[in-house]
Formats: sequence, C-alpha cells, structure tokens
Amino acid sequence: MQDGLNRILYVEDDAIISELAIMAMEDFGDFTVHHCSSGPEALEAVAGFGPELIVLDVMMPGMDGLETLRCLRELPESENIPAIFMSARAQTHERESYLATGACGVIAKPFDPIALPDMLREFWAEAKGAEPDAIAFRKLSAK
Amino acid sequence: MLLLACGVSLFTAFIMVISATVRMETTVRDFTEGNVAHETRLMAQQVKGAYDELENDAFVISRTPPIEGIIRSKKNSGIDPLEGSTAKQWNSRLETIFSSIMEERPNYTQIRYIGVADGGRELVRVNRTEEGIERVPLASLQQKDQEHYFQRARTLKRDEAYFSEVNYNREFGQVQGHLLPTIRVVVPVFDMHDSLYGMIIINADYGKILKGYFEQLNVGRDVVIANEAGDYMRRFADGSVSKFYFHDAENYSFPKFLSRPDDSIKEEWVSTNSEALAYSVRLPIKRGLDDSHNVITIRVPQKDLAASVRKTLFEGLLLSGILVILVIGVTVYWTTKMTMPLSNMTRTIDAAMRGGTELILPIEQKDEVGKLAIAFQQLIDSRIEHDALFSAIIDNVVDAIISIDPYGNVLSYNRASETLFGYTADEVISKNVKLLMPQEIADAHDGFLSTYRETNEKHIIGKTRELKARRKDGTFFPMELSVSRVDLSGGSYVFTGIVRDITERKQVAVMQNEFVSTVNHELRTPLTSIRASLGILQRRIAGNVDEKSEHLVNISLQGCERLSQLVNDILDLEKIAAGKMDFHAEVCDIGKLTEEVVERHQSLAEIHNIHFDLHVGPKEHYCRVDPSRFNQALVNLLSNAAKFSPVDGSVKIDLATCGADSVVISVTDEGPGVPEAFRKKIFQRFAQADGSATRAKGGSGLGLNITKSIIEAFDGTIDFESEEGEGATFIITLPICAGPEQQEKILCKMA
Repeated sequence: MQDGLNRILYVEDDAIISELAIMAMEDFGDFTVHHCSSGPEALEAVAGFGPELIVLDVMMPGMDGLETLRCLRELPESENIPAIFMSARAQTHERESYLATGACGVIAKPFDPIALPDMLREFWAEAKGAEPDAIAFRKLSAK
Repeated sequence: MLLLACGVSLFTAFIMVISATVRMETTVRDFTEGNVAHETRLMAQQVKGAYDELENDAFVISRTPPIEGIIRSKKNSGIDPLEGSTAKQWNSRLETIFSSIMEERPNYTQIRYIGVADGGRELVRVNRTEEGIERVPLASLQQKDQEHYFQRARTLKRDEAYFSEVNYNREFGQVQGHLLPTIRVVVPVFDMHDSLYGMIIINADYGKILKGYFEQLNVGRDVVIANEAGDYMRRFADGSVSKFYFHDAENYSFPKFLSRPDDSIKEEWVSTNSEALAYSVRLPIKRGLDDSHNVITIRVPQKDLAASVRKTLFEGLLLSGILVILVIGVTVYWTTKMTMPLSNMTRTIDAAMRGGTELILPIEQKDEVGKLAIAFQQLIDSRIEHDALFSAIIDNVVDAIISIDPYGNVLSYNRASETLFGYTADEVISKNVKLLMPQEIADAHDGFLSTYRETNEKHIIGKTRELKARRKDGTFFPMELSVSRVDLSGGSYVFTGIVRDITERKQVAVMQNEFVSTVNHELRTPLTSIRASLGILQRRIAGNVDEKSEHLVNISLQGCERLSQLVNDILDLEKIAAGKMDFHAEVCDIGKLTEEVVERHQSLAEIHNIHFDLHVGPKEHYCRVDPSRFNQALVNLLSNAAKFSPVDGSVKIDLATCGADSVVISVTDEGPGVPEAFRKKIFQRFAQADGSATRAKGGSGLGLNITKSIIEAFDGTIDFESEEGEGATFIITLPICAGPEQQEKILCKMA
C-alpha cells in the first residue's frame, strides 16, 4: 500500500477474536494477514510469510506473546520486524512492560475494529520512522 | 538491718566512751588532785588545831585562881591574904586542875607551873606515867632555868604563848625515860606588879598528836608532817606510822619528795613525778617570839591516781556498756516485733509469687501490721482479679501473644500460641523465642536484638510483617507478626509480639488474585468478541438498515464500553485494596503534564460536544507523581465533567499555586452539580447519585474512589465544591517539590 504496511503476521489463540480481528484488518485495512494460533506456529511461519508487522496476543496457553516475540527476535528473519501486542491486560504498567520487550505498540482489548487498522499503521509508521534508534532506545531504557 | 543498727549503736557507744575517757582522765586527775589538796588542807587545819588547843589550855590554866593564889600566898609568907588559903592548899588545888586537864587530854605528858625565881623552880607539876597521873611532890621539883624554852619564854609578854621546838623530854637537864618527841607550850604568868612571876608549861607527846590525826586519814595516803627544822613524821600508804625523825638524829634522811619550793612563802604547792603526786600545805606556827611553820604533805602514788581514774573510767564504760546493751536489746526486741510479721509477710508473698500457693497474710492482727496486711490483701486481690481478667482476655484472644525480654527469652505465651505453635507454655517460657522461627530467621534474630539494644535500630518493632513461623512438629506456616515495645518502670522493656496465622488469608489472597485474573480474562475475551463484532457490524450495516437497528447497535457498543471500563476499574480497585497498585513516581512539571492529558483526551470533549478550557500558565510547578496514574486520575475528573456538562458547555481546567508548597488543579463543569444527599459519599465505591438523569450518563461509580486513592498516594488531597444546578468543581491539591534543576543544585551543595 501507499504507506508500505501490507503483510501482517497475527498470532492469537482465541478463534473468535482472531476471526474478528482478521476481518477488521482485511476488510478495513486491506492488509494481508497470516494468522497463527500459537507462538511456535508463528516462529515457523514467519520466515515463509515475511511480514512487515507482527501482531501478538499476550495471553496464550503454552508460549505466551512475550516469549514468542523474544524468540522471534532471535530469528534473523524477524529480528527487526516491528511488533504490536494486543492484550486484555493493557493497563498502564502492563503496557509499559510490553513496550519494554521491544514492541512498538500495545492495543487494549476490547479493541475498536474500525480504528484498528489506523492504529496499526500509526505504530508501524512510528517504529519505522524511528528505527532503529527508537527501538534500541526502548530496549535500553527497559533494562 | 538489725545487725546494722546494733553495729551503729555499738560504734557510737564506743566513740562516746573513748571521748569520755579522754575528757574524764583529765577531769578525774584534776578531781583527785583537788581531793588530795583538800585532804592536805584539812590535815593542816587539824595540826593547827592541836597547837591552838595547847595554847588555849595553857591560857585557861594561867587564869585559874590557884595561879594568883599561889603568888599571893607566896608573897605573904605562905598565907593568902585574900581568903586565907595556904600556898600548899593552892598548890594542891592547882594539881587537881592539872590532873583533870591531863585526864581530858591524853596527849599531854606534863603540866607545870614554874616560877622564874629560884632558878626556875617548878612550883606545881603533874606527870603522866605508865601508872597514871602523878602529882610530883615538892621535893622532886626541878629547876628549869637552863632549858632553852625557859630562856625564850622569859621574854614573853602578857597573852603571848611560846611553842618550843620538838625534842625529847629532858629531866634534870638530861634526856631520859621514854624518848618522846615533845612539844611544849609556854604562857607567862605576871604578878600584880606586872612583872613576870612564872610560866605555865604544857608538854605534849607530839608523835601521839600526829598519830591521832593520821588515824583519821584514808588508807592509801602517804602523809608527812614536817616542821621547819626538818623533823618529820610519816604515815605510809598502808596505814603504818613511822617514828618521829629528828633532823639532828643519826641516819636522818629527809624524804626526797618533800623538796620545798624556792619561794618558801608559798602556802601550797604540788610536786609531781612519774611515781607520785605530792601536795604540800605550809602551816605557819606562831611560836611567840619566833615564827615557824610546819609543812604537811600528802603524797599519792601515780598508780593510785591512775587507779581512781581507771575506776571512774571503768564505771563509765560499764555504764555505757550496760546502756548500749540495753538499747540494743530494746531495739532488737522492738524491731523483731515490728519486722517479724513484715518479713513473714514478705516470705509468704514471695512463696505465693513463686509457687502460686495461696496468699495468707496476718489480716486478723490488730496493729499496724494487720492494717498493712489488709491493705496489701486488698491490693493483691484487685491485682489478681485484674490479672485474671487480663489473662482471661489474653488467653481467649484468637491471636497468639508472646512477650520476650530484650535478649529474646520468652516471658509470656498465651493459649492461642499453644494451639498455633504446638508447644505448651511450659515448653517455651524462659526459652529463647528462636524456637518458634525457621532456621534462617532464628540465625539473624540475636543480631537484631543486640543491634536494637545497642543502637535502638528497629528491624520489625512497630511494624506488621509477614514472616514464616515454625511449629513444634517442624512444619512452617505464614504468620503476620506485629512487634511492639512495652516500656516497664525503671527503664526496662519487653517486646510483645502478636502472631496471626495467615495461611488461610494467603490462600484466599492467591485465590482472589487468580479469580480476578481469571475473571478479567474471561470477561474480556467475550467482551472483545462482542465489541469487535458490533464494531464491524456497525460499519457494515451503516446506511443499509433502518435507524432503529443502527441505534440498537450503538446502544450495544456503549454497553460494551461501560462494561470494559467497569472491568478496568474493578481491577484497579482490587490493586488499590491489596496495596498492589504500582506507582512509579517521578518529578514532573505538573502544568505540562496536565496540558498533555487534556490534549490527549480531546476526544472526550468531542464525544460529549463540549470543550475543554485550559488555563495552566507558563510557570513550571514540580510535583512528585506517577504520570500515568496522574493521567488516570485527571481523566476520571475530565470524563465526569464532560459527561455532566450540557451540550456546548465548557469544562475549565485551572492550575494555580496555593501558598509556596502546593499546587491546585481544578476541573469545573457547568453541569447539574452534586446533589446535597450525595456529597458525603461521593468518593465511596460504587457511589452514584440517584436519579435517572445521572444514571443515564453511565460510569461504574468507581472512578472518583480510584482518583482519590491515586491522589492520596501522591500525598495530595481531592475535594469538590458544588451547588446544585450551578455545576461542580473538583480540586486536586498536590505538594510542590524541588524541580530537577533545583534538585541538581541541592545535590551539588550536598556534594
């Protein structure tokens, strides 16, 4: 697309939420979304799909979103791809702890499906514009 | 106590006796000396009396009628011209007088009437012989004009008497018969023509006179009577009397101690040496023509003086001793009588305290001790009652209450403790409290106590902590421990710990956490689905369905918003209630922060069709807040204000300082105001003013409560002013702190 964000890797274990989120992203944002229902699945798929943005649910059974992102960062294919968390636990401090892992944004659940694509674009643009310094800074300040 | 009293008494008595002894010794010495002086003077007076008696007797004789009768008859050739008596008759009468005087005076050895004519022939003479009183016949009378005394007496005037020297009696010019030291008194006899006719002479046994006086003296006195010539007689301390020593006798020696002072006019003198004290009195004797004197000396050996001092002292000591013993006896008796019941009481109380035996005090006793016992019994009874009440309370408290001394030894251990820890009181009391701790805490405990004793540095005192405790069976349980210091009289203190088993509470807390977490997730997941579905649906049906359907979707969406806000608020409340809400306070420019919050939430104004009217001013005010929590608090106020504002109304946000140390942020709306009835509970949970108008505005009723908690966490306050129908103003007051620049300066200064 015009701003460059097109391919999104979406990791979410809840079928209904993922269905709705994909609908919002595809219908209202015209993104190409690859959905994975778990962390390991995402690790496997990321190289093949080649996303520009990764959107992760935090609370997932087994490997949670934070762990998934950490692992993704270890893969050369995904080490620099901006990531956004979606979480039911997105109060101020949780938000900060998520950002500290190197994510470029946090979207609270319940989310507004209409506003969702714009939010993703904003975070992504911000991350891209600031990259790599901004991410590096966030990483540093988190420690 | 008693011993001390006795000791003090004895000591005092001892000191008194010593000081008395010192003073008494001088006094007694003075007294004894005075006594000796007195005795000596008395002796002198008596000796003088002997001389007076002799003189007196001689004068009396010289005035008797036969004296003149003899003169008259002799001058008238043997016949008294006055009354016709013959000279012989007169002589006989005089002999009778002499004899009767001799009878009276056993010391007299001779009385004579000597005429100066015819070679000093004796006219009448009476002798004392071994057979008795002898009238000497005319033929045996002697001529005495060769005798010294006769020579001296010839010069006597009328009314003068002459005492001879003491010497042996001489008959016919020779010393003979018994060797008696003899003193003679001579008085002259004058005829009618005032010419010397003769003399009356009385011889007295001087030794016998003195002996008579010596016998009246106290035993123990060594007395010497000496005359001017140095003749002397001595009575020894043992009562024996010496012979009369003549100064011209062979082997004569004068006792050393009789040395006379140079000044012989001195009437009395004392001479002392290490052996004896001698007191001398000079007794002048008028010997008629010659003056003479005797010296009477009484000599007391020092040891006798000392003996009398010692006797006096001994008596003093004895008396003091008796007194002291008496006093001590009385004291001991009384103190024993007084203290015996007291010490009995003390013992009873001691025993009762130690052994828990029944306390029996002598309350029947009628004296002060009895009264004391009653008072004590009452005190103890009330004490026991009080203690019983107190221990009943302590024992029935659900919490374990344990007290320890500053070294960790257990002083008390209530019944709940027994249940909680499994140890009985007997197993724990006076043992170290470490018994009840897991190893890691026990290891550090002595250190905490000693640090506190030395530095008063508190580790747990005055706080409530959650710690691990150890039961008798070795298992552990989580406890909540509150330790407080209890100050006792006399500066000592103990620690009292209240232990509460929080196993259940911990479990509940864990469950609650899990529950909240679960509820949160489980509520949000479907909520997210609904919210997302409705959002998508709303977009899809936009313009394609009737207005009512669209309205229904909108209502559903609003419901979703409220529900998710409620879930958030409940989560916050839980955290606040558990004290788990995190605050990351930092120093912020509160004006700038307020500005940012208002700007970021312009959407609130848009939704409610109002506008925010912000007056912050350019000045920087620094406060110590958590920006995100401050945001949450302010948004709550903004959201409320926006909600209640009329359409096209404005919400004013002002920032001002209040004094030098606080800043005030106020949010004022033009809404209906806070109803009177609601004001008191506006900051309570789930507080919402009744009435459909306000209900319709939505909200959980938790916002203001959370806001208040947040502001208070920043040491600030929140309040409001409102009049019904006139809008409301919510006011946050926060303490100002030093800004980053000032803080840097402070740091520099400190460095």
